[in-house]
Amino acid sequence: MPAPRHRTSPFRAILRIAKKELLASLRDRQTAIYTFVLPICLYPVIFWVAIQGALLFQGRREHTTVSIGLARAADAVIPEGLPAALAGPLPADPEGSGQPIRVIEVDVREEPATHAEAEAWALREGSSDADALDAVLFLAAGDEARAELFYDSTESRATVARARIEERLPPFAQSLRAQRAIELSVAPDRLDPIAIEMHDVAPSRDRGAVALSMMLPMLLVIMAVMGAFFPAVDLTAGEKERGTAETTMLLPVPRAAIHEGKILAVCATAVIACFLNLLAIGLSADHLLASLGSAIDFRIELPVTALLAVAPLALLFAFFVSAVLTGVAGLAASFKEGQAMLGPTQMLFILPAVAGIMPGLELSPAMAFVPVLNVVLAFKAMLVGKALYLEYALTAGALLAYALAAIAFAVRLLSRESVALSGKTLPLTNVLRLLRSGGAHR
Amino acid sequence: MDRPAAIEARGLEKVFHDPQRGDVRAVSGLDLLALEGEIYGLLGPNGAGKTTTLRILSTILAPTGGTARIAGVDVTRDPLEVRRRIGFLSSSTGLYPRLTARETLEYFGKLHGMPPEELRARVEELLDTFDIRPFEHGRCDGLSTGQKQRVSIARAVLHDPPVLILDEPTTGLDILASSAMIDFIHSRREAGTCVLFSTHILSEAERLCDRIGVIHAGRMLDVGTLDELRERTGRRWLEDVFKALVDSSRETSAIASAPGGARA
Amino acid sequence: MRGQRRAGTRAIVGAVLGVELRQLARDRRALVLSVFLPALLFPLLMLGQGKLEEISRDTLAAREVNLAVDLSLAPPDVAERFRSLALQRTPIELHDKDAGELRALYAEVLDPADQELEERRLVRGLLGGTDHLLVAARPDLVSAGRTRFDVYYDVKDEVSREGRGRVRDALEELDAELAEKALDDLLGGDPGRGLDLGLVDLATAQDSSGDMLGRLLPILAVLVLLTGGSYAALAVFAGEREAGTLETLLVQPAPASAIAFAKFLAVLCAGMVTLGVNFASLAACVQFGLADLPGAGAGTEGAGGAGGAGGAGGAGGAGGVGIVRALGALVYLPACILLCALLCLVCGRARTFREGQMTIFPVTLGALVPTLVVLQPDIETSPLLASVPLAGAALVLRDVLRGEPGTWNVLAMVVSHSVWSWLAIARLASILDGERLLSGSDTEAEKSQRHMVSRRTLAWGFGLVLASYVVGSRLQSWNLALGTVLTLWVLLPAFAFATGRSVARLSGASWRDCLGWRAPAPQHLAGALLLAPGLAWLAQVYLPWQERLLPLPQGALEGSALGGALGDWPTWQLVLLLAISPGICEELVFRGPLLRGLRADLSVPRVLAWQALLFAAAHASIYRLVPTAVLGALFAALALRTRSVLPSALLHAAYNTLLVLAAAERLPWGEAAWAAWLPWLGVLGLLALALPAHRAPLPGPGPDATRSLPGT
Repeated sequence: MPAPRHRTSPFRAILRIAKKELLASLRDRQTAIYTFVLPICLYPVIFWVAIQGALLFQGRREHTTVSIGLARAADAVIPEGLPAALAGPLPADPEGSGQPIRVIEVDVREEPATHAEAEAWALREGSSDADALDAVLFLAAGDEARAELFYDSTESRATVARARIEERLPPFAQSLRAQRAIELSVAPDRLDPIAIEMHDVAPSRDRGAVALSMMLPMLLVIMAVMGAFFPAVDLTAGEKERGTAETTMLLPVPRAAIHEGKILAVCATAVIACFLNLLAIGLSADHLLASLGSAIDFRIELPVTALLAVAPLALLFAFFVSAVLTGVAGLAASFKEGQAMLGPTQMLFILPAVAGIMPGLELSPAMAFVPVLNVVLAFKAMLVGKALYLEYALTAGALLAYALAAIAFAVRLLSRESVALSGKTLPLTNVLRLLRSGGAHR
Repeated sequence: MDRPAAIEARGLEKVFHDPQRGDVRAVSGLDLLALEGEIYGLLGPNGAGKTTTLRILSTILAPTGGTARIAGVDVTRDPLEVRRRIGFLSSSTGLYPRLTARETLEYFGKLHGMPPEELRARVEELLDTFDIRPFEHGRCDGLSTGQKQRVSIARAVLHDPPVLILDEPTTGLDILASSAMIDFIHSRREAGTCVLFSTHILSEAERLCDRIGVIHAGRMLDVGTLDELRERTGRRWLEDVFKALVDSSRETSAIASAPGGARA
Repeated sequence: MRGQRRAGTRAIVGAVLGVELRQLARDRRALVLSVFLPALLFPLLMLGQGKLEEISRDTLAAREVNLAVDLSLAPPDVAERFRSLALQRTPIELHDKDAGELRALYAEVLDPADQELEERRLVRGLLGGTDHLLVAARPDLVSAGRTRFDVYYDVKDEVSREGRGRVRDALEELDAELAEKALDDLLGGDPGRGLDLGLVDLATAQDSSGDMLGRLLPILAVLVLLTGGSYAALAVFAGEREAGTLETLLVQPAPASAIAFAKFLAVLCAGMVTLGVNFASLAACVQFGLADLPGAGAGTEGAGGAGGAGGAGGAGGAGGVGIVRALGALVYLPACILLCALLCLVCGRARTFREGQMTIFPVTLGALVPTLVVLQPDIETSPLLASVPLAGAALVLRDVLRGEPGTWNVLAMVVSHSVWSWLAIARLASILDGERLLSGSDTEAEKSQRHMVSRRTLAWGFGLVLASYVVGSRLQSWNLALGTVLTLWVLLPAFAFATGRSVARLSGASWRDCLGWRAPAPQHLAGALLLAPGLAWLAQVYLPWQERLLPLPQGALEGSALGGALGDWPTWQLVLLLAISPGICEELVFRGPLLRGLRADLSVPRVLAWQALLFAAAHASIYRLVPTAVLGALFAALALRTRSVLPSALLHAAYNTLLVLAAAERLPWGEAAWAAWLPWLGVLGLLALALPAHRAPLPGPGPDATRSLPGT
């Protein structure tokens, strides 16, 4: 009997299998849309909605008429000009051309009132909505002279009224002081003995990086996980559903190579999806900031160096995630069940990622060994340009170890006959048993 | 025996652990010998262990006991080599839906390590032989059942294996496709391939097989040419042959399990 | 006689509902994952989040801050006082340094960029790697007697940021002290005394808890409902379809509408159970003090206790708002019904489980975004707002929890949501039509083949929308004039070209034909032009009315680049770039190949609808949504009528010109009285358009629309 003439090296086999799985995945219209088109379209839409929403709300807010009541205690005096100051534009901008003009109606009560009466006045529900006051400013004199603002924090207009008063009262008080200073021939700026100025020595580009470092590391993890999710289920449980599981088992390559090829394909999809997402977010965020105008004094630029620096770590992490998800999805017998199983498994990755962006957590040699968290913290540190070379190296090493362990785990799990050929979905709780069992694996 | 053995199995055993039913012996003590260039039919009802046996022989499953050799290679020790020498086809061996017919063949060829020119030539040959050319660029999930069957067969023989294992190959096929499959199996014999196929359709067994092995409840009841079996059981129709073998095996096991009876 | 029994509709619905619920309940794994697992995640999330925030706050507060100071030029008493105030904010250490070089820097005249670099270098040198930030004091150059404190920090360093906060606190305290002293010394008292603002929150504890809950509950409800409901909807529709049991069901003597309604009820039940379980979990969390409900900050610092202590004191949660109000949350029911109906609609159309699963995410987003409106505390509900699906319901729920449900608002919301739900369920029944389902995949493939041209055209259309939003607005924010030119004269024609080629190839027509560059009949051309004043006049009437409903933030227009252009650019540039160019280029692409491609497969009303949508989306502004949609449909109708792109281009350009000139207040006739008669020209225009012209109409979907499938 003639022996077969040719062989493929396992490494080549892995690549070929991965290539085929990737090709097949991309040909599925739904996968292609979900993994590629969706991220690209989603972010511009989200940002657009955010901008339009902000404009809408701002517009509505400014065109709300708010009524404030002004009352005084027996020994207090309502300063002249206060009602006008509250109702009119800010003193710094008398024409109100650059600032939105806020509409306020001020109802001044000349007769003195007590504290309780003022409160009651604020609480009073008018016979019609037009009567009711949104807030009442009560001026008391004496030792405890202050202006008390009675308002209801659960009422929409009251909060608007409060915001506007908080904006108007201090400048008015300041103008009173300036006026008195002029009367007494004192230079007004002597009343202001201290000037405080903050200087940020970080270059403006880095300011953007700080903002990014709040969100991007977590997003990186989440996107890698979500990018790996779909192909992981598709290539394992989906294959069982499509009836090609057996066909794959007949391939003249070592079984381990088959599973590794699948993991590679999942990883590739995750990396591509991640990259596209980051690109889309980067572009949209920049656009968002640009359209918000000069109010923001930094620009967000895609931190290319940081991204390049974190790329190897991200790749190892992607392998880690892909291996775990593929292994777990292999337990499922159909697409639906596969997705159901991966749902909670995803959380294992996403929760630490969210935790990682809390301020106060830093990459330390100990932290470098905590999975998921180490990638998030490393990226955070890289974005702000910290030179924690030892910690980065440790993180890379730990990630490599985890990735290899995860791949071994997945391959071992998937090679189990009971997993590969099962017609039913096996529960997650069986994982340990399956790994340990001496069941045949080739 | 003038021809070398293509498939040899001795004392094959397979035990499944089912959480609800406990240990299930799908195959126990099964011996099988198929020679080069022979068509060997595995006959038996559903649940007899045919599929399990074939899967063991094609390295999809690992036996829990016994040995099996395909073309001289042990299935437990070197399954990879075995896979290089067999072609396997069953109703559950599907085609990758999103690849085209041509791509499927090229994919398998590459994994068999065929060099590009040889692969190309072989693929062209198969496309013509099985008349796949009209739809060679169509995605497999868009093909009709008959077209899929042809592509599957082409895939199974792409690397010209000396052993072909088919699990109920005519299930779900209409008259024409069934007939085409039977012709194909015949043609393999001409080419000197050993074909092992399982069926529960007696007429197929009659038409094709050089030898027939009768399986029931995980055991091989008897093996021989059709005439030999007829002679041994004294029946003419294969159905009756089968029933007789089953009955006698039941008697044997009843005697064996009775207290004080001979242990088999 | 056999086979003559009839089951009442109610019985049918009951039977189907019972079976569906039983099947759903038996899928234990999915049940646990979709219904109960989220309920367990709550405590975890809340505990975790609270704990993490606590940890990070404490960690930062406990960090040792090293402060470099140079107070040599500050008045000694000020410096002393600052030192003691800073040292109060432990843990902190002060190190004296000499910032003379830094001060000298400001006396020099340097390029700002160079100055920044030097500043950075000097500060880094002074910090020397151990100190986190630097505070340097000097006399103010402008006003004598004032001391200037310059604080140098690095925003990239967490500790530096923490230090900045502490230093700012100390400086502000110092400022307050010194200012008070100055007022006493110089003015003999503070004339502004008595104007220190103290906040007294009159909100009851109930109201505060309700406010907090009102912000949380709608969002939670949407998420939870969609998780639980989607598992049911997928199983009941797409899953059944995949399993093949749907056909069997539809062949039974039960009306499809009854079946659809029963399935919807099953989904609703599943959703409400999920909601109930999760809210119970939430209430338990709050009751056991696990929850520090977010959003306690804004608005309650004056009263302090009422909101913030809500969790601990049990004032939050159901106990906090009182049973009556908590029951009032049932007002959200119509929204729940609407959500479930939407889910059913989406999953009903899906052919496989996977397809249905794909659409859940966009639906979740689409439901979540309007609900997020509830996070804005100062949005007031009006009956109109309450009618907006989901957003209105969220607002009404918030109001109810706050204790002030407006009767009209609630009514509007209930009515409108019921109408939307009813429409959705009615549509559902038609989707479950047996013939449509049983026709199988071949006809589906055929149908998609049939609509290939329009689908491809739509893909191009949306691509254009995306490109003009992302690329176009970026170019325009970089340089308005150049950006507009590039967008209009490069991007749009490129798309026109590409779409035209695609449509031509798919529909077998000529390329030029697809672009719509045919000579129109002269009367049509004239008619189009005559419509312009009337259209512009309508716009001028409509826009102020819209302003009342959707007011633009003041200064948004004037402050924007566009506003600047209206003021600064010469008239010819305005007209050319903002009026004529859009007129020509937009028509070129929208009413050219896009119109042609759509018309190839779709009926006229559908074509107009898509044109309106695409045109409005391309302009990407809520404020212009209605006008651009209407215009889109109008121009499309005109192009269809006149069989050419040129009249609509002319009309568009003329209309734009009039509007731009009016906005820039540069109309050539100003306020002339006779100008009021111009709109009446529109009547003449319409008459002219009604005149026949001998031009072939754009080919629409013919009766013989089936194409042969490949490879059959």
